[in-house]
Amino acid sequence: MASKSTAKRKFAPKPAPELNLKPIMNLMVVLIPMLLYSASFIKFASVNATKASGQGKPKEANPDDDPKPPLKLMVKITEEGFVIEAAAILDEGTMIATPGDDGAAAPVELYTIDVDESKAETQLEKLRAEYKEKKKPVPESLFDATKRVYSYNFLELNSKIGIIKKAIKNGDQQAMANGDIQKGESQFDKADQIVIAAQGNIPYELLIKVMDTVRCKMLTPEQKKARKEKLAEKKAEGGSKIKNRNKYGCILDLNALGDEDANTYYYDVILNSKLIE
Amino acid sequence: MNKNKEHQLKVDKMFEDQQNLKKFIRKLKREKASGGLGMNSLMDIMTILLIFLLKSFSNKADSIQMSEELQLPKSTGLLKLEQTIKVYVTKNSIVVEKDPKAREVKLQNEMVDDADMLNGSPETHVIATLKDVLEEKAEYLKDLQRASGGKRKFKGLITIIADKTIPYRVINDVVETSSVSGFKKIKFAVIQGS
Repeated sequence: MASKSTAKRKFAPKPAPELNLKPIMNLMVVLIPMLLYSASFIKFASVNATKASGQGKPKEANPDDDPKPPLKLMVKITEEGFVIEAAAILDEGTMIATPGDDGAAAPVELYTIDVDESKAETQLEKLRAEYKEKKKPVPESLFDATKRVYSYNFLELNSKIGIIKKAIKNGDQQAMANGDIQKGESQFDKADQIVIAAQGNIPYELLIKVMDTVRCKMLTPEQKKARKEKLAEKKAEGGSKIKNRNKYGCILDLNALGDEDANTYYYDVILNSKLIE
Repeated sequence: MNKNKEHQLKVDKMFEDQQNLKKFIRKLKREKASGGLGMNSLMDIMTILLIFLLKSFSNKADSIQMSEELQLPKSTGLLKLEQTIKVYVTKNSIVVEKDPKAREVKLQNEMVDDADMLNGSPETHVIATLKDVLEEKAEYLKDLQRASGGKRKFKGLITIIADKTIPYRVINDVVETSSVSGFKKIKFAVIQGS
């Protein structure tokens, strides 16, 4: 009996030796949190702009070759606010070119939009709430920078830019009816470009905000609310992924809100080659 | 007599308890020897996680490392970043690509030093060192276009990655310099959001 039992023990398959995985496990436990920590979940995008060609003086074109007057639409960013200029005037919802003295159209101030500190309040409130959660005081420099940028009235600028865009369209339609221009053309040269000029000490963040503002239609607070409700409705219905902006960041579902300016792309941004003094 | 019996029972019980305890200890010992934790399944999870994470890193060539000196502004734009020459404008320097060899331009009080400007004059709005570096890059990209038979076209695209507090003066200098060096189409890197 005893010998049988020993034989059994001798020939029984030995259990496979376990790999010692502890060092690898240690490594993994360290590596994974490190990778997770350094992984950024921020999405990057880009904003396009072009440099204004030529220093100062624009190229003298033959008036015979190019009969279209240039629009020369420009937004100036100064410490005091925005100034919108164009080489045309607004007349009953239509843009009319203003011929200058020597044939070249002279820019006219169309609108001035002043800085309004009360505009910054919503953004500052957001900032305060964010830091309250972190249980830290808001850094003074950040507070000042935010206040400075958001004191500008972007909504007003956007609506004025929209008015101008509409006026250009109106003028184009009239000109088209008169047979002055072909379909798809504009009465102005470079009608879809806007020049941004700024003072030297304007922060970059403000420049980007202005570029966003002149690119597409912005929502008023009421529209924002209506849109939110609409989106929530859609989500409840089961539309899981709603693409609501095009690549320029223009909101696509404005038509549903009864806005006829919906998803118009306003202007390409050109950066002025000179600073405003 | 009764007392004796009771005692005997007690002793028996104690003996049994002891036996049970011994069995229990033996069992414990055996379990400990066999390894206990199911390490293999955990290893599987970890390996998959690790591969997944590493992969998600490898295709993030366009990601930008932000820091205290480089906080990007937010924008509603959704255009994708492209593989272009990148200029980093942080709070204290301007540098082309994160190349250790690249000569960087120092910023002081958020200003480019006059000595760094072309001909030493700030009116040119051209940063001399930056111009040299960018011209080299443009030359290289044009060579690449020639060598590839026009397949890898030189589009004159440049991405400017700048801190949101940088004054426009500096941005303007960088834009002017890149446009002089052949990069006319500018992309500003931003964070998606509003």
